[in-house]
Parts: sequence; structure tokens; C-alpha cells
Amino acid sequence: MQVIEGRKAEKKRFEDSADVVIIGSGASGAVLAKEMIDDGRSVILLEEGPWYTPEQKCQFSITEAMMKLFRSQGATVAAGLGDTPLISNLLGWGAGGSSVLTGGVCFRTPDSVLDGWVKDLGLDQLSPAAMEPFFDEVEADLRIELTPEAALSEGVRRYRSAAESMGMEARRVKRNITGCRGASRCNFVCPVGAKNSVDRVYLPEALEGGTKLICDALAQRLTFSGDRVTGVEGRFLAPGGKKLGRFRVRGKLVILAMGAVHTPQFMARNGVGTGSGLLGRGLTIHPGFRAYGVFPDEVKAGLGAGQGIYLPGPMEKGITLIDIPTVPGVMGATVPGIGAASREYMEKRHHIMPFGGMIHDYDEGRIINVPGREPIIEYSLGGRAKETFIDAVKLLGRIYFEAGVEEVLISIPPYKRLRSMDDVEQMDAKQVQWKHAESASFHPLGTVRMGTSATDSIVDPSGRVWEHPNLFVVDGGIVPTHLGVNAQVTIMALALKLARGIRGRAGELFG
Amino acid sequence: MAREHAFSPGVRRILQVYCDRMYDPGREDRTTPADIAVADRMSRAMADGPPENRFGIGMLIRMINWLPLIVMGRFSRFVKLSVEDQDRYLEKLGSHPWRPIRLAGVGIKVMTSIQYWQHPKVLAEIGVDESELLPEIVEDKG
Repeated sequence: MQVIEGRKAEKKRFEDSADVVIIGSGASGAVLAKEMIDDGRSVILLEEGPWYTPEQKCQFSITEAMMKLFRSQGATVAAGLGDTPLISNLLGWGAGGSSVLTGGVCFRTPDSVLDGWVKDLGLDQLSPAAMEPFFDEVEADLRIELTPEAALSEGVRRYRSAAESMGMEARRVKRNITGCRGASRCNFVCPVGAKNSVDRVYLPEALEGGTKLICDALAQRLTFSGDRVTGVEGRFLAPGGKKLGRFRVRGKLVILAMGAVHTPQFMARNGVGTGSGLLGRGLTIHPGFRAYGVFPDEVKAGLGAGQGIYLPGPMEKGITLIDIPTVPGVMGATVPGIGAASREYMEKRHHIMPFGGMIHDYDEGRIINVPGREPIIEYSLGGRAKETFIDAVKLLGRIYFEAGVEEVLISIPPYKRLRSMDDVEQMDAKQVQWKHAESASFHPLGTVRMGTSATDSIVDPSGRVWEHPNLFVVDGGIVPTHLGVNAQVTIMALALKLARGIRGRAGELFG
Repeated sequence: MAREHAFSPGVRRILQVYCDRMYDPGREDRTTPADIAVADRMSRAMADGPPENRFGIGMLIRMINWLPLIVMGRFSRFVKLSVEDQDRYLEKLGSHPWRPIRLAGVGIKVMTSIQYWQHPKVLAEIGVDESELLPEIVEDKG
């Protein structure tokens, strides 16, 4: 197994070459690396963040996980102009990328979405039938299974009973988690290593097969010979971001897998994929909110599966409601009051059941390339999104009160504490001070869109950047429209399909 | 040589006063932010982060110290306000109509909240046992 940590590199200049150079070791990059190794190719996998073994990550405290495994230590936000909230955007950092930090939720791309890609965009090769074998394979690799009934917390059970008594179906979530112990902190690395993230599933196989993983490696420039990309140059990074020695790696094929936020930034800086004028546009993020239902008695929400159940019905109306793991440190930042007032809620933590809502993207944002390491993420909630947002909060509030909560805590001013069903029903999107509302998102997609024409997309249906014969993009950026569901299975299945396409054209691509 | 702190001693002092008010337990038998030096812990934890973060968060902390004039019309720095006024100021900070001011309040609260509430002593006081787990569950392959 070859892992090179740039922070420890002794040479001032590092050079290497391989058949395939992949930038980004997250959900798609790891799949690609494993596939290319299986095809007998040599692979260099560049990762900007650090290397930790899965076992080391399990030992991290919440603070360590946030500081070491979240990009920008969790401080990434999407901002828009006008009356719209700042939306925090949690991205992974380091080997395994965001897959290490997901709640493990695994949805296939809905057939209705795939049908839309075929019908509206002409992407015939992404039909439900064409994608099914790749979903099957990814689900088997990730050992996806239904959240065990025994792993649901008391709070989730009450919520489910309430939803069912209101005539709504509640289903257990499928997750890539085997042997859940209910630590309810999936977003900060599973402490018992039960989550089958790519650092446990695809990366080990890729590394065993000979992939060279180079961490602490900030990719800066593509090198070219005519329209062919010949390699990648960049700098190694010390902890704290100081730039160290330079590296240069050459490859017959270069694959970008940095994610929907950073791939378009990298492409813009290198002047690739800019022909259509759409690079970085079309961003969808699946914006959401967090709420806390306060029960009169203990519901032990902190002991159970992190994201155990969801309601399929509201998804048809653009609303996803799902229980969410919330550690005390996160809850403490959002409960009302300061000092002793907020402590009252924290001392009642076992009475509080956190739930999250996400809404479909009715709007699109963009990635704006600016000087510095991080791009600007621009995203605004439009009128329909705001209405749906409040519809989602109201639906959640109704279920909470049906389940017997005394109050619901939210951060959507002027609505902060809902004390009755009447309070819920009186909520009005027009009254919300959207600039003050708290919102989060976890699924950035769509900024390097796939399409059938160079005039309306960045990459072709094989993932190849239109203007360059050996430059591919395989991450969430290529997803052509919003999904309405968590994205990891879609990203991995697309990566797998595109990898198989590359393998099928090996003679042409590798000479 | 590895950086030990993300923030200067002056910034850490402001941050500690902020934490003292924000997480004041109001009871003598509870762990205070000063007992566990929350500001120092946060500063050390962020030392290895990207330089933009150290600069940006450091600026937000300084803003908190400078803003009493704008937020509540007081010619004073935050750290020199009375305890009661510090509480009033922090209440107003998080809901101020100007986004940069509100961002200072919310951003610092998220960072410090994790440092305080995830400390083992504080977790124990609010009845959270982080080592508590369910038996291993491998049923339901559905």
C-alpha cells in the first residue's frame, strides 16, 4: 500500500507518472481508482486533505473530526443576495472525502429523475434500466441494508407512530452501515467503524492493487500538449495550509473528482470546460433545516441510528423529512437563549428529538471562482423554495405535536419556539426573516453538467470534457439536475458506469 | 514547527469572555467555560486549519469586541461591559439585521459550542455518556 503524505515529503520537487491521474479521493474518485486498478492500469490518486486510517478516524473526538475531516473546519457556507439565508455546506476533507461524514443514507436516483434525464436531456444511457446494474453493484459493495428496527431510538418510534396515525407511511432508511451501535454521530465519523464509507470499501482495494495515494497535495495546474492533458502540477501542504514542495504527475488520462464545488473552480482556473459558459452554474444543494421536538419525558434520541426513518409521501411534494443525528455540541449552538437559559435545554437533552427537513432545489446557484483556496458558493432561496421550506416545517411540526412534544425549537425567525399546533398552522413564509434563518445543505451537485451538446453542457455522456480527449469529470458536478434524495449512491453509480465506459475504450484512451 | 495556537493571546481573551457569558452555567456545581479553558482549546484545535479560517474567525472574534457601539449604542468594548450588558449584547448580536454582525454571533457560537458541550465533564453533567452504545445489531438485511 502506497500512501505518500505531502507534509512529510523530503524532496522539494516530487515527480511521478501513471496511466491514470485522479484528483479527489471521495465517493467518485475512490470508485474510479478501484476500477482502473481492476483494469490493470497504474493509478495516482491526488488528495488535497490529509491521510488518516479508518481506525484513526474512529478515535477522533467530535472536535477533532470537525477540525481534521471537514473542509475549512466546517465553515463553508453558501450565500446569496437579497432576503435569503446563509446555508452551511458541509464538505469532507481528506482521504475518503465527504463519504466519511455522511449519515449513511442511501437512496437510488428516483426513476422519475432518470426518466427526465432521458426525455428532457437526451441522456439515453442513464435510463432506469441502464443504471440498474450499477445501482445493484454499488449497493452490494457498500453493503447497504435497512436500518434495523432495534436501532431506532424511542424518539424516532414515537415520531413514526404519530406520522402513521396521521395516515402517512414511514419507512426505515437504507444505509451503508453494518452493525450499527446507535452512537448517533454518523456525521462525525462512526466511532465503531460501522459505516462502509469509501475509505473502507473502495480505497483499500485500490491501494492494495497498487494505487499511489498522494495526500496533502493541492492540485493547481493541468499541463497540456495541444488539446490533450498531460498531467497535473501543484504544491504539497503542511498542516495549517503552508505550501511546501512542488509536485508534478503525468498521466495518459486525467480524471477530476473534487466534487461539485471545487472541480468547477479548478477547471475555470485552468481554462477548461469554459466553452459553453455554463461551468460552475446550475448548482443544486438540497437545502434543509433542523428542528428539535421537546418531549415531556426522555426519548433518548442520542442512542439510536443516526438517520433511521423517512416519510416517502412528502417527497413527492419536494419535502424530505428524516431524523438526524445531533451531538450536544451542535445542539448547544442552536437552542435558544444564552447561559443558563440555553443550559436548561441541554440538561433536558434526553427529552429532545432532532429532525431535519430538506427541500427540492427550485433554484440554482453557482460557483464563483475568486482568488484564494475557496470559491464563493452563491445560492438564493426563491419564492417557491421558501413556501416549500415552511410547508416542510409545518408538516414536521404537526407530526411532532401529534407525537406529544411540548414545544418545537426552530431557527427560522420570527419562529423560534412553537408551543402548539396553532403556532404551527400560523406560520407563514412571508413573515419569515429569511436572512436570519438557519439552513444547512449536504448534497452539492450539478456544476459541471453532463449533456449531449457542447453548447449546453460541460462534459459529454461519457464524462469527457468536450474540448479535451483525455480529461474526464466523474463527481457530483456532472449530475444534470437536482435529485431530491441523498446523493452518494447516485454519485458512485455514475462513477462506476463512467469507469466501465473508460475501460471499454481503453485501446483508444491509453493507446 | 507546528503552530500551537490559531489566535493571538488578545483574541483568545475576547473569546474566553464570550464563552464565559454564552455558556455561564448559572450554578456553582457545574463546569464553567473558564474551568476548561474553552478559548484556548478552540485556538489549539484550529491551529492546523487553513489560514483563511484563522484569519476569518480571528476577525469575527475581534468584531464581537468592537461592536457594542453598533449593536447597543454603548461606547465600550465587549470585554469591558458589565456582565449584564455582555449578556444583553450577545442576545442582540445573534439576531442583528446586518449580516456580518449576525455572522459573527452565529459563527463563533457554533465553534465554541462544540468545544464546551462536547467536553467530557460537561457531557457528564448533562447526562450524556458518549460510550453508551446499543448491542451490535446485524439483523434485517432487507
